[in-house]
Amino acid sequence: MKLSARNVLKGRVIEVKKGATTAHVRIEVAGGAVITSSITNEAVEELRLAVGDEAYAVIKASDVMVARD
Amino acid sequence: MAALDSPWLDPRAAGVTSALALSVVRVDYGGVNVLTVDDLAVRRGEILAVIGPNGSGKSTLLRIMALLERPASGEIRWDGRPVDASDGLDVRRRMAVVFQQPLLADMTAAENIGLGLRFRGVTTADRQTRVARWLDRFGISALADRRAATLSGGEAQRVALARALVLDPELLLLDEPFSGLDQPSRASLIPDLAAILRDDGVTTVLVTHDRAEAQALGDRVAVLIAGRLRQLDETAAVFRSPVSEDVARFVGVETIVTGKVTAVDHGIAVIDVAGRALEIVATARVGDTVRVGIRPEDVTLMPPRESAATTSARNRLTGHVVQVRATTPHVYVVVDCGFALVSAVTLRSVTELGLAPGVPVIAVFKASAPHLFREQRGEGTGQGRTT
Repeated sequence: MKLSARNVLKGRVIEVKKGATTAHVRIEVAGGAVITSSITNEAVEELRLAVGDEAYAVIKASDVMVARD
Repeated sequence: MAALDSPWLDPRAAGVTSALALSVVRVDYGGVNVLTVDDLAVRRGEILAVIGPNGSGKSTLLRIMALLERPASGEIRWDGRPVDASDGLDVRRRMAVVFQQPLLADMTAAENIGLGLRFRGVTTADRQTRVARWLDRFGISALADRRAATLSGGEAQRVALARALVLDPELLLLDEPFSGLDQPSRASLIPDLAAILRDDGVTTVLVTHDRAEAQALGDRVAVLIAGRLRQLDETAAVFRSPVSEDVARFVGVETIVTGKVTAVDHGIAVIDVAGRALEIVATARVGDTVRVGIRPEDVTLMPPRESAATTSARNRLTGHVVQVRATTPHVYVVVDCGFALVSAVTLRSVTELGLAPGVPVIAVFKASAPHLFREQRGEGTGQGRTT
């Protein structure tokens, strides 16, 4: 996938939880880290997202916070 | 220093959570009101960033907080007690102010840092220990014996900050502390200062015209425009949900366009902007005319040959690049997709996607990204709508 977002992380959908407007989709990426995404219910349907599917978490560099202990 | 131990000065005893609080403070210059602050409290341990354009009253506010200037009216409370400029040294010695002031050029870096301690009668041995510690914390131990006049701008500012922090101030007031510095010096000093202020929980007010500094350092942000406090909230909230268009523009919302609500379904409004149907998470009514703000950081670009259906983002607008504007840390790419939409991308993305004027792209943003303004102008709190 070619796009301007710097972080495109391949993983597997482990949960899709629909709400009134938005759905929370959890994607497990390499190393076991889990990324939670909030997207519209329509997007879940359009992408036909289901648990076990391969998917990418796409994050713009400007959205990534850095923290230290 | 003995005065600091007086029992009535202990803020915790009275349950006061703000270090300094302003209520209905007005400042007039030559009969003209330049600053009005109804209510502003600096919470203990927080970094409060005060941002606004030049001439918005930021430095005046800082001088009022530092008790260097007396307001025409209003009250300033320190630890819950009303104070004014006549309280003088007692209170002022518990604050430290860093203006864009030069160091004493003929003294060494270490002597500059120890100056305030000397004025306070701290013994030489104690002074040396504390100065050495702060030289180390700012990574300038090697410069201890250098004359201040020979220091670079970034080094001198580290000395100035160490000189303030060595006094263990209960309130640190910073007036544009990075504005005279070159980009590499700023980029290294900001995270270093942030780490020190957070580790020590120093109550800090940072005045800056630079929103990136406020974003990097502020726990909360106060937006001052034309002498009025327009918004005061957690940093992320101010940048995500500015209360009005002028605040939005100041915090970097580059795209603000007019649209008409054509449908509302399950919390998603469909808004027609220049013939393009945008899907936006918002409460709105069909037929409403609204103003839509979109932050450049929320817009991703992709080449048109990528299938637009491959992302969850609800808005995918075809268009072409009309301008590529290099700033730091982003490059702003203006896309004409019926209206001018600004996207912030990295320089690497510009190169990899070959972004240049005339190049066709798809601009992508989530339904949750745009922000609707209830009013076209004004304070942003009323229900009124200008048409």
